[in-house]
Amino acid sequence: MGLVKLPEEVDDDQAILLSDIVPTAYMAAENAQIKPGNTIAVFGLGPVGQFCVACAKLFDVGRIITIDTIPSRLEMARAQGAEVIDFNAEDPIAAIKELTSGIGVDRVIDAVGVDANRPHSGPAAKPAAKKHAKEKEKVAPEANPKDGNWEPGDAPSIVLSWSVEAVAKAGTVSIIGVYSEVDSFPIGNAMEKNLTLTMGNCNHRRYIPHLLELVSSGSLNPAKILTQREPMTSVIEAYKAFDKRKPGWIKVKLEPAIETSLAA
Amino acid sequence: MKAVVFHGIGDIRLEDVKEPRIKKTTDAIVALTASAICGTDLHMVRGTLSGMQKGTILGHEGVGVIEELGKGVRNLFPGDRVVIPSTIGAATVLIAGQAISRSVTKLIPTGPMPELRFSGARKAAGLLMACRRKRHAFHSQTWAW
Repeated sequence: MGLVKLPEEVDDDQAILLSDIVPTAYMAAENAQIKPGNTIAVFGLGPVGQFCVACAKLFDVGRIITIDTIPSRLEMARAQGAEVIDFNAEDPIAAIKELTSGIGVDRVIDAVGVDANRPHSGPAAKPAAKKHAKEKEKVAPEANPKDGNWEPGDAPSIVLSWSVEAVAKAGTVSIIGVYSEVDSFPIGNAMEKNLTLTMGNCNHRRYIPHLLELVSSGSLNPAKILTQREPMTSVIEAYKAFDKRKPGWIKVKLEPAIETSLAA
Repeated sequence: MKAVVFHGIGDIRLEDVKEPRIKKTTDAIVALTASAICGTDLHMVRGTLSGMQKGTILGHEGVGVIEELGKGVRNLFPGDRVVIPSTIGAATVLIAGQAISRSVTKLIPTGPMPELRFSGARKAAGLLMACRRKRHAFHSQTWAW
């Protein structure tokens, strides 16, 4: 029952993205309770965040504001029609307030989770450093970074705080980022603002048939964000590049048969 | 057959692993034509998602062709091209209108939420591995995911 048969017109580049990240992003957009014309903020522009932008459009969103710091990721969101904020250049909350006449956005999607990095330059750097000083050690006590790889995020709960600050009163915060051991959430501010909170892991099988229809009909082309193709022999190197968030490394597809095909 | 194996936080390796075999009647073996790396895999390697067991094969995204099916699978044929959902669940019985299948809790050996959170990971590891592994029929070298 778990596997879903693919129609011929959906190729591997599209299909591999339906295994996890497109259904995940679609559920995040559905959970965000978007009403036609709403303004939404998406924190995090990795593969899931990029698809949150694409999926929010399927729910007739009016305006999309996105927050990240990696130029290639901001560029891809901008190419999708989103407004972009670099959190190392601007205070993202101040920027969102300015863009929404001080009101905040109707809905927020947190597509970051526990491996969040705080700003290290710009006006948001200092307060973030103070607030999230010892969080990393608490959340990932057994971290084992090597040569710049496998470094945990240095502000695990920062996007939870930003989300509650960025959203308008009576808005919705949809959390799709993974938060394993994090136990700090600004519940007081959320309560005072009458927020609705939605979250959870996706049951992908639940969404895949509908998403296949959208891909088959041309309403959604997930292959647009597939940026790297790597044979399995270099899989460890691909892990390292993706881990370092290298420029342009947004989603990696692995092609198991390539090396052996060439050798044969 | 090769796979990326988790040996500890900050320690993953590409190495030979056993060929998959059908263990339960609802299992399938899929020859992968595509897989991917997910941010969730990175959480485990960085140590921000604890509880990953050593020896677990990393990765949970797959597209491929069905090689073998357990006798309990009623809706697919060997040779079908499929996408593998990255979590274990069936769209049969929904709890409280949520996208969480009641059958999920039956499928996971360690019990109900939250242990089921990531298929192909943590304690639920063994279950989907049969689906995740690939044996390429046309080459002597085989790959796993």
